[in-house]
Amino acid sequence: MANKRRPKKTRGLHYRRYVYGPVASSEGERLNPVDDGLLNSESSTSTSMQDESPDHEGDKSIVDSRSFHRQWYGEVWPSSKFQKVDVLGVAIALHEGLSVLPPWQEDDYEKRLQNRKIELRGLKLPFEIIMEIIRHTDDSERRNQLLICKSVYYMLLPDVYSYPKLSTTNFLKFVDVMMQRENKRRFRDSVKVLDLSNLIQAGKVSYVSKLLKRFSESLEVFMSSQSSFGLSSLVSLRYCKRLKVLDLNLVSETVNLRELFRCIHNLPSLEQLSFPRSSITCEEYGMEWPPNLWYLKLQGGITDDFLMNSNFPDTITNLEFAHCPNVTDEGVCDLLGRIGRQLKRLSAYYPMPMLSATAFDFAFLYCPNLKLFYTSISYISGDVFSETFLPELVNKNRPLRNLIIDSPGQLGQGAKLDPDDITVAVSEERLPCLRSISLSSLLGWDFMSEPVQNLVSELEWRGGAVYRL
Amino acid sequence: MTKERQIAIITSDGDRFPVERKVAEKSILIKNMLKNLLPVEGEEGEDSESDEEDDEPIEIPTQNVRSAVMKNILEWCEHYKDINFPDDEQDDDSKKSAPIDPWDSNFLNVDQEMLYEIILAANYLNIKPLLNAGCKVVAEMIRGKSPEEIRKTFNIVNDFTPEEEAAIRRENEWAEDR
Repeated sequence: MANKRRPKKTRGLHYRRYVYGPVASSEGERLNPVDDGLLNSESSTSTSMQDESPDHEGDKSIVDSRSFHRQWYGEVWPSSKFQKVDVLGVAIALHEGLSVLPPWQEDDYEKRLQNRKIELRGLKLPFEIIMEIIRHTDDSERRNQLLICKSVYYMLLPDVYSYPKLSTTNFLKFVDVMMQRENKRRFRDSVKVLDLSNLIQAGKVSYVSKLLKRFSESLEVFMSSQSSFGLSSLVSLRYCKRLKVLDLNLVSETVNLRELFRCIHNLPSLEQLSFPRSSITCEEYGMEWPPNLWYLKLQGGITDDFLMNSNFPDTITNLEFAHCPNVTDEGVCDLLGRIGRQLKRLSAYYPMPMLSATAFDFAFLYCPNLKLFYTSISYISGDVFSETFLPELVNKNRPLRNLIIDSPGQLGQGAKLDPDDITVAVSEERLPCLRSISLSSLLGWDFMSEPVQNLVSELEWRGGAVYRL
Repeated sequence: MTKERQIAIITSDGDRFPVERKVAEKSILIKNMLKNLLPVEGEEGEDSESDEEDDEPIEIPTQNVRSAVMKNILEWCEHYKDINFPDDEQDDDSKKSAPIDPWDSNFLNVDQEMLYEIILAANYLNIKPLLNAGCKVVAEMIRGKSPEEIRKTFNIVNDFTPEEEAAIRRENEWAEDR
């Protein structure tokens, strides 16, 4: 026998399928006449048996439309087309009163029961004390401790990831973890210090750029790897608003300074910047500097033109020269003449082949506010401590506290300077605040000799000390 | 000048411990309480009102501490009563690296239950140096242990599924050899 309950297929059906809610019911009502024959023939037989009064004619049509709607409801708008409920299984289970839990939840229940037992077993410390204890343990155990439980995991995760120790062997694994889609949100902005200086080959350039992008909200320190710092990474840097230290020291690719500055000039927290030491190109000098920069390490292919024509900001208090093959005395003197007064720390590292043997003799003259002066013996001579170059300041004490004289170890370099030069300057009160002098052993000075011992006793008498590097 | 008012600490099981003010003030909680109840003479000139009840000792209830634990705590306070601990928070690294004082480690050489109770009491009474020493002792206990053993030590429930555990091991593989 044919299934009479099945609605007759009519042409309008497809268009009705996707209707939902009150609209659907009105639709149903509206469409009712179309299906009149089918519905009336079926429901009128059933209703006519119960009630034959003509007053209910209107009600009947509503009931009809509702039943019609209800009949289609599940199919028109189910919660999921793929939803399957084992109604029979549950019903039988309930009927027999065996177990309300479906079989796939029984393990879970069992486990929870066990956990409950553990919890009741003994005295439990509050969570914050447990965390305090865990933080008292060694950092190397964090990875293991992540597995204790979920709350501990989430508490410790920032500890493990804020300063990842990356090297050639684990970098790719690290990138893999970070790039996985499901980890995206969990590890976003977890890293604060990204130190790639131990990497020789960072894989694709895009890895660094992707990592920078991923941590753009949290990154504070970035040290570049030896290779590959492409334009894309530069662009990613632009979004690292919290970046404080940018160290491009090791980058071996040529970096265009203009591009670099375009990306970093609006980083509000950038405080320390190291130029790449191998090469940079720069044609124009009117760049905007980051507003809070105080540490600047000049390296690489910068030229005298750059030193003379750039507008160095007056926030810089710490200036270092290293690996500048093109810089000559002229550039250094010009720069120190302009910004020397604001400097508190000045360093000059070996080697800078174009500098003369007395290039930094003017340092004290130009920079009266220095607190620390580091130089290689290659760039100073005994004159630096003479009265001409190191005069007494008129209305204040020269604040220099630390003096470090290094040496590349070339023969005869030590003879450029005599310990007595320093002793005289100290005893004449021209360096009243000096507390520590560090001298490289490579200077070739005999530390037991009388001049050095005189220096030591002079300084010790003033509460300072002489150290040997 | 009147003689110093007596202070007694009442524990949760009703025992009474008369203590010196200096000893009791090792606990910041009690110290602050006393500061409100009984200003140090000479510091503030308000002791005129409290003159008449001077003889009654001040009783400080400590609801969370058993008398057996309190006995230990007071022993510690007595030992350190003349030492002033720096109030300001030291930076974490120096705090962590400093080894445990031998006296402390001997003092805290008790069974785990008691150790936990001392830590809890030190936390409640706000005795930072004791809490720190206790944490260090427990940290020493869990050093180099597996997560399972640490869970047992702290009665922590493992709420990871085996799959999650494996995933976490996998994701932290990069940090393995450091």
